[in-house]
Amino acid sequence: MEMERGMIKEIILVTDGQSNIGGNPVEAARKAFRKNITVSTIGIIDQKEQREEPFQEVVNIANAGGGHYEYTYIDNLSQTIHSISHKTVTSTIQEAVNKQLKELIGNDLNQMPPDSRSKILNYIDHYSDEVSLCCCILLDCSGSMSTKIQSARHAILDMLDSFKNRKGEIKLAVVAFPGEQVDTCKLLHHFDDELSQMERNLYQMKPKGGTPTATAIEYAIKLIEEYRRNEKSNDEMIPLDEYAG
Amino acid sequence: MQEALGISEVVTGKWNKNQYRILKRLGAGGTAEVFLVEREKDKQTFAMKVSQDNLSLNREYQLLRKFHFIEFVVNVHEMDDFHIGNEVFHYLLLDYIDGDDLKSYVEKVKLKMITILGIILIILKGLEEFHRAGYILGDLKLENIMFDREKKQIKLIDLGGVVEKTGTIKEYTPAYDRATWKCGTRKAEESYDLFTLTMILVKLAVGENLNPHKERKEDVFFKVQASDLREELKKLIIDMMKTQQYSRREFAKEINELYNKEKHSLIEQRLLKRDSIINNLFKVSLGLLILTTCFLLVTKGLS
Repeated sequence: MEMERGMIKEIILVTDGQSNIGGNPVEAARKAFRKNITVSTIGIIDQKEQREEPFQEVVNIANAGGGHYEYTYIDNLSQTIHSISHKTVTSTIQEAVNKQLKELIGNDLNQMPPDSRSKILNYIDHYSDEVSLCCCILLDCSGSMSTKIQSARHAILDMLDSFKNRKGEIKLAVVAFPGEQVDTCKLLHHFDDELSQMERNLYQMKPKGGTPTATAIEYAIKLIEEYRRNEKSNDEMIPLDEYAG
Repeated sequence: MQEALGISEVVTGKWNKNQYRILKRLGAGGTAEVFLVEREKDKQTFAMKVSQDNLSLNREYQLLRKFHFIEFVVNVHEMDDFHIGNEVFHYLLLDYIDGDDLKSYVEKVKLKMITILGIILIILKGLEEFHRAGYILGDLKLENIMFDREKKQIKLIDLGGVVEKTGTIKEYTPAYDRATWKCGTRKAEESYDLFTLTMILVKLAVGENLNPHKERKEDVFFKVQASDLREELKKLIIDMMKTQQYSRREFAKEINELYNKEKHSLIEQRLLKRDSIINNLFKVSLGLLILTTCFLLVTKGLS
């Protein structure tokens, strides 16, 4: 089956606390979503403490960004990034397919009997591993992360390892926030950087300061948009005609 | 979702119109929840796997159907939807297996080496079928293997991690995952499953909890070396962890030999036991004979 060169754009925010510097992160996520970039969030919870309250923000950002959210322990971070990215890809494709189905036959997937639905789902499943993916990971490097930063480094390296085996193209960037100044970010890995550089860059992360989440999301939007502008874009979605008949 | 499905509630399948009464919540994993249900028309019980993620549920359904013929894989009966309010839920209807999963089972009962090797051989047989059809089992773990109390069988109840060969492993459990242990990649190839199976063997045979976030693979090698396993088994485990150099067939052959050795030593032990019983019986009867003779002599002497 010949695949179109559509690209899915996503931001994955990894944080262990509430934004406390800069603008409103929920607004920033909404802005990203309007630009067809989904924002998903991963809330790192402490093995010992149960702090439920500051994490409502994680849910709100994901809802505004059209993405998913998950809470996890730092030890499971790599798996969580992997699964949340997979979820974003499949649900983005499913939404696109649903939209086309509605236009073509006036029904969405769930209104089709299981047998015919299966055929389309199989197709989405295959396609999700082959579609190009542009993913920017935002890593909270505020002071409270200092005890977890070593595990976070391992998680990012491990995650790169498993993305390597993806069939489709994958472009990955990693951004730490805050950067040198209070309200800035630090680009650890740009989309086209050598992977071998990554490990060294990861060790440049020095957890300190507050959590400027909105700034980080804005930064990621700009990064993705600039990068995409330089690439020739061809954002056509999947040809569905053969399945809709 | 927990609030959505209450105990003793009845759900009706949208397409096949079957009705089921929810009896009990059996557990949850990933995006799905599993309930014990009773079919209204014939009071037969089943396990119902409920999820809103139709993509992964559909995949699993296709795979369960495809691998229906493998003994080791649980039977699936239907896939359907039900509505609660405005929300659509999808479900699979599976055979209900009355028993423990292997993880909780081994926490309660200490398995004999011969049983452990037997389990590994059954799984290897199942793996062969998957591999031959071009698939990798992926996320194989003790939690997903049920021990059927009544039929004395083991059954695989979750195919959520199955992927086609040459793809990427999508779901994994760090303790069994070769990339987490830095022993290889997450490429979907036969050796990935063999590594996972080796870790299951380590867990069952050495009985230690494995935590790749706290230990390195060398720590596991050390634990294996320090255990009281047969030397051949230690070597097999460490070789398989390091390089997965054995093919599935070679691995099965090794395990099979070890299984036969265990069986022989069990038979020998039993023979020894029998010999010693005979021996003891002989001693006891000899003693009795002497005693009786003495008694007879004494009574004779007295009279």
